Amino acid sequence: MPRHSLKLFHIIIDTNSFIFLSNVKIQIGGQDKSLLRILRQCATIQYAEAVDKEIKSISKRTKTEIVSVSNAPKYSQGLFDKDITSIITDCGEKHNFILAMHTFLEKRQGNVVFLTDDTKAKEKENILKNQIDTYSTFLHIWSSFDVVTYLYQMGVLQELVTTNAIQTLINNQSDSEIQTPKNKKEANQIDNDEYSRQVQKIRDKWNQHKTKYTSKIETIKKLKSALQP
Amino acid sequence: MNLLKYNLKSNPFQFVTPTQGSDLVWAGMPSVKKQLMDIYTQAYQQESKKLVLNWGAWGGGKTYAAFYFAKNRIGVPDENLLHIYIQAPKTGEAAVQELVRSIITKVGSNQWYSMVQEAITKVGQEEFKRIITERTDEIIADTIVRLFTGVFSMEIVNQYITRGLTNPKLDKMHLSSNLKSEQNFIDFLSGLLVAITIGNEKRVFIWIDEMEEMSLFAGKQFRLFNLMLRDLTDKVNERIIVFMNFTFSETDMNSLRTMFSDALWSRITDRIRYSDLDIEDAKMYCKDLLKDALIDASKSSAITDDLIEQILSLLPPSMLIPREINKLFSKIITYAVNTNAEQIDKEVINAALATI
Repeated sequence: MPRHSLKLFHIIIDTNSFIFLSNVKIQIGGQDKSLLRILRQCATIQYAEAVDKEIKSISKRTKTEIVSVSNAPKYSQGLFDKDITSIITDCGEKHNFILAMHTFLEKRQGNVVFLTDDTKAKEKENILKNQIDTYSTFLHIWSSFDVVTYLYQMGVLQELVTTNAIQTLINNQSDSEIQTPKNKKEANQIDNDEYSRQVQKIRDKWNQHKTKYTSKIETIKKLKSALQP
Repeated sequence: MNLLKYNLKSNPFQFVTPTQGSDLVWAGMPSVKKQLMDIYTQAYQQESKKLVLNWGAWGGGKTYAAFYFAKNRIGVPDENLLHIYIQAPKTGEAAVQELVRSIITKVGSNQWYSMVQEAITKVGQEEFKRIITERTDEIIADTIVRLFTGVFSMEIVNQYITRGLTNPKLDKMHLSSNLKSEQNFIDFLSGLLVAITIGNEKRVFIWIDEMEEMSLFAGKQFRLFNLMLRDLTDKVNERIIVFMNFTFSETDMNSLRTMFSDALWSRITDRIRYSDLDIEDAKMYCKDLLKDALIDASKSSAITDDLIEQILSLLPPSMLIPREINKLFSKIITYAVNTNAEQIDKEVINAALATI
């Protein structure tokens, strides 16, 4: 078995990441494969039923990856002070977080990854962010960019393919963000200057992301070449 | 707007980016101006390839610089200077073709035709073809000759670079094929650019504005666009100077480097940073603009130095950029005119600000 095919991580994937990773196609062995498909060979992927409801209308999925947690109501109370049925905001992320905690605490699974690209859910000051911050000691908190970095480290993706994938993820994720100022401009709610400023802010954010992950790739590259026989 | 009583010919603080060709004044930023002037003058003194990266925050004057240099600022004969300003493609799909088409259509088929004609007349067709072949290949040289000599049709040239010619038309023109790949487009443009500098002292200055658009292209498109720009700079001769305007808010050069492919980055010969202005830079910028707009230069400026400083202090440091300074000053001057104020003083400024 090639080294990279060992399933080292148990990844609980969010809707956004599922879609982004499905949309990035990589040529491997003359075949176009999505990053998600490649990731499935290197990690166990799972998600909560609430996420499945969001995914099923937009993408093909593997039913065996859908997991329900029998004592989810208890987790919901303990983590979010809420009855499980009344979770509405960040519903997919919260159900996935319950699944991640369950996998770690009760299934006794190491290397559990909570994978989401929903930066708003991850970063806005609320109870979910608080729980993520607390449990990041035990869980790995990843975005799609970390998936690409992982696949590069494991030798599944070559350097050029990796940097291409990072750029394509930026393209996919910024596209939907730019839509907001675009709509505002079309509705004459903002002028050209304000539009440019808002788009530049989005670009700045993704530029920083690119710099950060390019630097990670450089660092990994150094170690990889040092370890080469 | 009647500004006579303020000793001003016009409102020097342009609210929007001015149009090309308007009579622009360079204000402040002396080091940027010097670097650009040096590049322009050196282009005629020494034959060395130049790929210039203008970078800095949004509203920092990069587009303004491109428009300012649309006019011949270095006193060379006008026929020796060709200025081409285009905006980078907004999306990655077909970005290379779009860039090439923009450059060609910006100049216009008729102008290409007369420039190519002039070059062939000077050196003869064989030598003309030889020089272009040296830079690109024989097919490109032959295509340029066939399209731009004999019975010239603007329509045919436009069709060739946009939709492509039909097979009968290709046969009639004795052309082997249309431009298909990105490489074909770049080769054709390189050939044309080389062609118009044959047998003369012409220098071509190409300004590509809003290059930051490419930072959000998808992976493959980003790579291809970078690769083709590299090829363009490799294939053209030493008489072509390309400026890339790139809006980038960070100040770290290493971060900026990651925005380009290694190959393109290594071709950049000059990097000009449009730094954020500090209060002294901003004061100089305002004073330069006001000075140029004075009707009677022996009389004092419409807005005193103290007032300039006071107005500028209203802007947070991150907004101390020409675009925002212009907006603020323009509003104050407009308010003074509209309220028929005798002079622009503290009271007028406060009242104007209250309306914003």
